Order: sequence, then structure tokens, then C-alpha cells
Amino acid sequence: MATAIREVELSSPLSSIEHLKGYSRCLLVFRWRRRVVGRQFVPVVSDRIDTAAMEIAANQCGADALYRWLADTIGYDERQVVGTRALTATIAICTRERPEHLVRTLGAVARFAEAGHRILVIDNAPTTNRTYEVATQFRDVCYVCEPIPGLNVARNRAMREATTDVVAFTDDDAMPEPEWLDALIANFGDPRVQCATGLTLPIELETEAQELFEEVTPFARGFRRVVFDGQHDNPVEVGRVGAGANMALRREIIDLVGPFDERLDGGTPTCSGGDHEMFVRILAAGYQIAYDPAAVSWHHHRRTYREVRDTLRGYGVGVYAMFTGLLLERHEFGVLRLAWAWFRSAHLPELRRRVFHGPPTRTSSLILAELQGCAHGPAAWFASRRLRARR
Amino acid sequence: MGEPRFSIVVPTHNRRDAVTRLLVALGQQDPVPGGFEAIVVADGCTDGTAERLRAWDPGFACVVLEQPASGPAAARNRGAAHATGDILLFLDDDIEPRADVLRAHAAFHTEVADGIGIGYLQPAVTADGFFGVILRGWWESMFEESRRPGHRYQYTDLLTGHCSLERRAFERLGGFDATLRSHEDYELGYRAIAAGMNLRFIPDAAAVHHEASQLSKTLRRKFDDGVADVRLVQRYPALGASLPMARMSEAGRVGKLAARLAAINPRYGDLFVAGARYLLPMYEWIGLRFRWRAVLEDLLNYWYWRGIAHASGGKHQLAALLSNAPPPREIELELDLADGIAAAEKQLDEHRPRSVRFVYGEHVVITLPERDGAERLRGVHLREMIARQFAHQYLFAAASAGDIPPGLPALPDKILKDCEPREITPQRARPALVR
Repeated sequence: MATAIREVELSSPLSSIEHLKGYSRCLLVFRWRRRVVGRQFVPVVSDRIDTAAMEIAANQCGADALYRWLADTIGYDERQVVGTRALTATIAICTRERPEHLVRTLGAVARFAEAGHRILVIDNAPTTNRTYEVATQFRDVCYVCEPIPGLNVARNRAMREATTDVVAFTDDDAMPEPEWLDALIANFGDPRVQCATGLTLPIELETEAQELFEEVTPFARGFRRVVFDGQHDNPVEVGRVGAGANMALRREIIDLVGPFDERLDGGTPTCSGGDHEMFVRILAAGYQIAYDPAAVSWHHHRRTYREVRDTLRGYGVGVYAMFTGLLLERHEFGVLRLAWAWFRSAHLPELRRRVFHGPPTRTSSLILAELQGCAHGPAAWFASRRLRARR
Repeated sequence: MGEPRFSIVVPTHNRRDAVTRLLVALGQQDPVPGGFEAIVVADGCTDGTAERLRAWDPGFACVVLEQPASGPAAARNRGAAHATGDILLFLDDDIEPRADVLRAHAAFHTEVADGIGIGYLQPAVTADGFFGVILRGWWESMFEESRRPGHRYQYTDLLTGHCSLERRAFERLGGFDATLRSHEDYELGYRAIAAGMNLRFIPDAAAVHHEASQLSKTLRRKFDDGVADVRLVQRYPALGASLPMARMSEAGRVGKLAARLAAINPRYGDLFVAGARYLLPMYEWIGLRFRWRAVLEDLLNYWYWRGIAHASGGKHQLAALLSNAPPPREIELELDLADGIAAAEKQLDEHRPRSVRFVYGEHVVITLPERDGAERLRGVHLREMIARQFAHQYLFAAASAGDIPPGLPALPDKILKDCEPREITPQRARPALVR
């Protein structure tokens, strides 16, 4: 059965949640005065969740909720610095033939144009004019066609087209909240911060495939702001940093560390990894990336099992393709240790279970699809490099 | 102060191209009502700096003085003695100020009485590879704390590479201590804070800092830093606790071996670390940045401690020196945070205490003893301190008083294990890579 998603405001008295017929469990997203401070899966009993279960779930939010209360009570914002000037931003949406999703995303981001920010739709290697038609329905949206396929090609085009201080990327199947952009921009007061990422939550978990995706590879990276610092942190460990579906970069970053690697990510044999490879270069150059859960975006996960399996396989391909490039071109030998650690913690237990304990479950099939992708990653990197050289 | 005139003092040593770049940038400054003069002090220059500058008209009043090599502190004093402006702006010769730097300093001094304005130095590092990354990061980290609105300034925040103060105040302070070859800015910062001057970071006063330091120069400077820190503690014993010498950091393999060899004979240690430097390019090639950093840290620490040993005479003498610190004084003020943050801030602004004890109803939350070399507390420091220094104690006290709303979680173990009232020890001096 499906999972319902409900938001709970902790500054108001907790009460039971009713009318959950058809759901076996519920993802409770807890907020303290609009800021998300935690999330918990709670079983649905008799089509409802009672107050006691809510209280137990709320208690699991622990220190994150208390820190938020403290910051709110004393009026403290850790991102604040002296003399911050207002930064301008472009919201970039890289898309390819998904007008039904794009129209919702544009509906969600249109409000940012009213605040003076620019909205850019990069239509990547279109085969129809449906994206153009959707984009031009919105008055303040700037449509750009990028004929060369590749998500990173489209990202680079967005960085070139933008004239603002910051370029914020959202996927064409995501719904950023009204505070999303301001929350991302607030992290750039410190000149060392070159990139900010935000909290991505599922917009629905109506199908089993969506539930599995959320279980195996959730986008959420916690509920407290974390600054990853290239001076101290291992630059190749970027799994916790965030994802390209919810990130903003200073426009100048491409002058400092180079553009997105166009051999990586969607539209190429490597399928993904283009955002993480950029994170690695930002950290390796000694800059910082801020993960800020105040920047909330709701993501529409793929609905069918096959789509989710392909996505997971693509993640495996992308990560190992990225590792291959980092190893061969940047001598980042640390990726070997990381690849082993990932295999040992995520893939090896599943392989062992499958060999000794019977047939795979649907979850383990996804993990094994990811592993297959990993095995294909190095070859995909070489294939992508050849393709790029030919272009 | 209305329409102050600036005297820009630039000490330089054999960097005629750099100082020329600086003067060109000064010629492109946005006009300030009082105008400015530049005083370049060529300190033991043998590269024809003075001749080139005298033969060139930068388009504004520019005096070139020469002196035998005496160090930057003496050069700055000489330039300041020659100054006729109301405000002294000290700039190092490898600085390239942006066009609105003078305007930003002028606005600061109009706003803040008895102020020392510290400008932002945006690093443009020549070194590449891991060292370039770490050097740029180190420079940026200099401003990390000063950027926070609630930062409590201390003597180590003064950066003479880009700072301004009233000429009369500089004269009152007696100028830089020219006997120091390093950390002369710490020393002036200490006296300025003791005299009640207000150090402030001016983010709008931005200049590019063309940092050309290489590793060998950095290591040499660490020896000088060690010597200077001993001199500082000899003069101001209470500062010992805030300097790296008060904490023997855990050395890596290279550091431990070097220390053992140096204990037998300092020359053995010196020879060993000279050889150990060649580990760095090897580690860099194979991307082992953490090994690389560990070795660099060991080398820097080695030379810092060699400087300490050289100046203090040995570990027993150093221990005696550190034990000279005066005993802590009585806590000056007690504040109840249960009365509200705004009320506590107001009290801090009224009393400007050196030390304070915070309570929350019946609970002692935290004690902040006097910190020598730090400015007296202001209200603006409070929120920053709660959030970053005693959040757990505050949460515990608030929970005990029943002030945390009922819908929020109970205090988790992580907080309960760290909620005992304690004393906050002096902060470390800024991260020490290179000056």
C-alpha cells in the first residue's frame, strides 16, 4: 500500500491525523515555524495516526528541532555575515521533453520572477516544440534551446546565459517552496561558499516504486545546516553534500574550477554524476559547499519500478564513471578507498544475502541494479570521452 | 570627523613591480572629500624601487622614503611619522585595493569613534597545487570570525596588511614595536584593545592580496612567529593561554622524529625536516592530501617550536614563562537569561564587562572569565555566544525552567551529556599557517 505524506507544525498542539484510508504508513514532515526539522515514517492504524504516535514520532526529531527552536528564540542566523549585499539569482531548469512536469515546476518558481530574479528554461536537444510551448506560457520565463544533448551541457549553457551572481538549479520534476531561493542565496555571504544545496523531499509516495526509491536512495541529507569545507573535508566524499536537483552555484565558479564536465550525467553514456563531479572540484580547490535544509524542494520520484531501476542503475554508472575520471585525470586515489567502502557497506551485504539466503527482494534488485551500473561505469566514462572527442 | 584626509603608508622590500601595481590602483580610487597622500617606505630595497618611484608621477601626492633594512614595523612607524593626514591607512605592498576602499574606510571612521578598520583581503595566490589551496584557505579563514555580526574582537584580529586608524590614536599608542620581526600587529592589537579602541572588520573595503609566498618562506616565517610569541608572552604573560604555544599539538610521525632528533642536536632535526619536505610533492602526485597536510603541519609546527625554543631557552623556561599569567579576577557581572535576550544585551551594552556569568533562573549556564587581549563584552556578542558556545547549557536551563514548548522533543542524550555549567577558556589565536 502507498505512503501518505503529511506536514506537522510543532509550534501548534499535536493532534491525530485522520482519513488515511488506502495508506499503510505515513511520512510525517515536522516543521518548527515553517522550517523542516525532521521526518518520520509512522504506520497507519485504522486509517489514522493517533496523537500518542505523533508525539513519539516528534520526539525522534531530537536535537535538530531543539536547535531550530533555540535559533528562533534568540534570533540567530548562522548564515548571517556583516556587510552582505543583496545577490541576484537566476533559476535554471534544464529539461528534455517533459512538459507535463515542467508546467508544474514553472508554476512553483514563477513567484521568484516577481522578486526580480530571472527564470531560465534550457531545452536540451528537443525533438518537439512542446517545451517551448509550455515555457512561453509564462510571462517571465526565458526559453533557451541547447541542441547538444547532455544535462551538463545544459547546465553549462545556463551558467553562460546567466548574468546574475548566483545560478540556482532545480529539476523539471521538482517543486521548490517559496522560501527556497532566499534560503539558498543566504549561504553565499561568506565568499568561500561557492555552492549551496538544499533539502529535497518526495512530493508523493503513491506507488511501490516511489517508496522503494525513497528507501534506497533518499535525497534528504539531514535537517541541520552543514558546511563542507575543502580545507578539511575529503573532497571525493560528496555523497552527503546534496544533488543537482536542488543546488545553487556562484556564477564565477566556472572561472575558478572549470565548467561542468560534459562527459558526465544524463544524455551521455555515464547517465549521472555530473553534479557530484562539480562538487568534488569545488572542494578540491579549497572552497566550501553549504547544505542548508531551509531550502526545501519537493521532488516527483519516478512512478514505475522499471524507471526507478533504470535510475538506480544510472546512479551506479555515473558514480563509477566519475571515479574513473577522477582517478585517471586528477590522481584522486582516494576514490579507490571510497569505491571499496561503498561496495562493502551497500552492495556486498546484498550480494551475500542473495547467495546464501534466497531470491532477491524488490529492494535488493534495485541495489543490484545499482551495482551493475557501477560495474559499467568505467566503460561508460571511456565511451563518453570518445563521444565528446568526436564532437 | 568631517572629511578626513588619508595618509596611506606602504612599507616595501624589493618588490618594485608589486608596489607600482598598488600605486596604480591608488590612482584609480573613487574620490574622497579630504583626498590622500601615499608614503612608500623602501626598507632596505636593492632592486631600484625608490629610483623607479621617484622617476614616476602616479598622479597624486606620493613621498618615497628609504631606510636600511629594519623590518616592516619600523618602516610603518617611519611612514606614519612622515604622515600629514588625519587617518593612517596601512597597506602592504602586495595589496591591490579596489576603487572604493578609501571611501569605505572614510565611512567607517565617520561612524565609529576610536576605530581601527580592518579591510578585507581577497587572496590571489601564486602557489598552485595543495599548497596554493591551503594558503588561500588560510587567508580566507582570517576573516571567518570577523564576518560574524556577533564576533568579539581580539588582538589577533588586527591585520596590518590592510587597516586604518586615526593618526593621533596611532601616536597615542606609540606606534608598532619595531623590535618584533613578526606578530607586530598582534602586539599593536593588544595595546589598542587595552586602550579601549574598537576593532572592526570593514567588508566593503576590499582589496586583492597578491600572495606570492612559497613553502620555504612560510617555514622561515614560522620560526619568526615562535620567537615573536615568546616576546609577546614575556611582555603580556596573560596572552600565553591564547597562543599556540600553550597547547602542545599532537605531532605526526615526521614531527615526532624531528623533535627527537632536535632534542639530541637541533641541527639533526633541521636536516631531517629539510629532507622530509620532499615527501610533499610525492604525496601530492598521488593525491594523498591528508598525508600531505599532516606532513606540512609537522613541518610548520617544528619550525614554530624551534622558534619558541630559540627565544625561550628551553621547555622549563617556557613553562615558567607561561606560569607567570596573572590569576583570574572576580567575575564582573551576572546576568539572568530568563529575563530575555534583549534585556541581557542591554545590560552588556551598559556595563561592557570583561567577564560575566550567565544564569537562567536558578541554573548557572556558563561563566565567561576575563580574556586578556579581547574587547570588553557588548550586547551584540550574546546571541553568537549562546548559539556557538553554550547552546546545550542554555537548552538544558530553558528545559528545566519549563520554557521549551511542549510539542518539541525532550532533550536527547547528546545534549544532556554536555549541559554542565562550565567555564569557557580563551579562544585559540587564529589558525597559524603563514604571515
